[in-house]
Amino acid sequence: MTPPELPSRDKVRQTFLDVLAGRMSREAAASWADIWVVKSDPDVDDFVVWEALKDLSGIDLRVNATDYLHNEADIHSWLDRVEEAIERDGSDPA
Amino acid sequence: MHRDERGGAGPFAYYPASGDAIRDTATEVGNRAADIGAVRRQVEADHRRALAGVDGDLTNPMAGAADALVANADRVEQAAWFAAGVVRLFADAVDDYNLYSIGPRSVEALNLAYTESLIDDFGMDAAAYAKGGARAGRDYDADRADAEADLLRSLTAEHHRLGEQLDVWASHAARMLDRGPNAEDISELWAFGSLGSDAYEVWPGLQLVDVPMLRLPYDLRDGSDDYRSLDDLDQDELLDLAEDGFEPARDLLADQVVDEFENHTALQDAWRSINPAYLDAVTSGVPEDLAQLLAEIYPTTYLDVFLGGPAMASKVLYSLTAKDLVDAIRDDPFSLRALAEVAMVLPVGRVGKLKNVAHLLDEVDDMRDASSALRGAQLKEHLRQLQKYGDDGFRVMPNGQFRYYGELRPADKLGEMMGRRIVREWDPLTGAKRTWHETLDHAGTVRIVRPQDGPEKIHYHFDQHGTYEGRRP
Repeated sequence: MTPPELPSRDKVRQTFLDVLAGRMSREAAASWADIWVVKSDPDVDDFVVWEALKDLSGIDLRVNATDYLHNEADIHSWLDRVEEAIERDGSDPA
Repeated sequence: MHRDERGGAGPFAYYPASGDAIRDTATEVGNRAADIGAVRRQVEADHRRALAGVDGDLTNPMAGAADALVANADRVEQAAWFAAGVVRLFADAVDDYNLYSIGPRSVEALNLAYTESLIDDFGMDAAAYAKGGARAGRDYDADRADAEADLLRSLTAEHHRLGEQLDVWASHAARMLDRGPNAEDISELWAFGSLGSDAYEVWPGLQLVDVPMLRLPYDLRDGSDDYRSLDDLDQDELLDLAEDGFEPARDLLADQVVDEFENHTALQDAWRSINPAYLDAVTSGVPEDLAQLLAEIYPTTYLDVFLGGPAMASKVLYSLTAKDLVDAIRDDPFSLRALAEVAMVLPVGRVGKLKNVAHLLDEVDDMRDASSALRGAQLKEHLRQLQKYGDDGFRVMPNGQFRYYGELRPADKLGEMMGRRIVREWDPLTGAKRTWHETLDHAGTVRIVRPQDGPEKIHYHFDQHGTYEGRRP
């Protein structure tokens, strides 16, 4: 099985946008992020991407059967951090 | 050309009077002070004798009869001491000017620089001016004159700075003399060693023994080029001075004894606080930062060891023996100590397989290498986990597993929960890792735990007291 391609700043940004637009479920986004977050040796070197993946990993946390812990404002703040980093350092600072 | 009594010739003039000649003047002044002191002491002695010879009503008036004279003599003596000190201060400045100054260089050093350059023909390469040479066709004498002029210009500028420096000291000394004896100037003269070594007795109220000495008093120096302070003397020299009654030397010796005692105590304390894991790591060549991490992970100290009973002591002894063993065997392969240490370090079953000492050394080295390599690998992994998951730190659990706590991600939504964090757990023995999210309420209590590793994401709920409430998808 081919290992998934390492996520990029653009990819995590797009994932946030997809969740906000309803094109992707929170559960799907969290599962995608967990590929790296729960990995024994997470080989994500870009700090911005790594922090975004940890944000996404808990995007589907619930406080009860019907409510998520995080609202859209939280997701927007995470997205803002990624977009600011892209604007500051570019999509691929390496 | 200028030439002084030491024979150092060159283009720059020495100060018209040498430091020694100026100091002789100071000595004359000082001798007057000594004379005044002698007169005063004579008056006091005579007065005591006179006082012993009177009775009754005359005793009280007689008792104060010599006070005014003695007080006046004190003032005159102090003034003479002060004046002599100022003159010696200037004499030292003249010595610097003539002989010892380094930046700018003294007259002697400047003249020497000129002379050496002169001997070196001002750096000229005569061969280069010969036919076919790099500077053939140029006027050698003109170039040489230019080179000398350049050097002289540079040396003269330095000499000028040296002169300004001496001017400053001369003005300073003149102002001191204008002011007359005062506490500040006396302290300065004492600090520069320009007063005699018993000056603190001449001005007992100034506590000169407490004023730091930048240079030994002139009468305790080995020569005019002796720039040592009291702190530069070795213990024998200090003892000599102390025996001669020089109070600052006695005080310094006493301070040193106190320091040694305190250092010794501190050393003992430091030894008790040494961390065996750190020590072992450092002696095994592990870098300092990793050794410190190891110490954090295994915070036991020697004090803990000795307070902690035989089990802990044997663990530490084991690690130390492994290190010491190689040295012991190399020192004396067949010593009882070496054999005893072999027995302690190697598992019983393996001792019988050892063919010879060389093999034994290899075995021990291998063990140490493997042990170090394991620790090194574990430390690297720890650092990796810490970097990725330990924004808010880590804890070592009682079972030896490590937990790394991520930064709290606050929840914007109003409600019972404050936010969540990622927790990573690592077992250094097996290498196994687990990851979960913890949701915390505003009191900081973990209310929901959701493992991330399995396919099914279950939320485990707890009440505000930590009591498990049940699981929900």
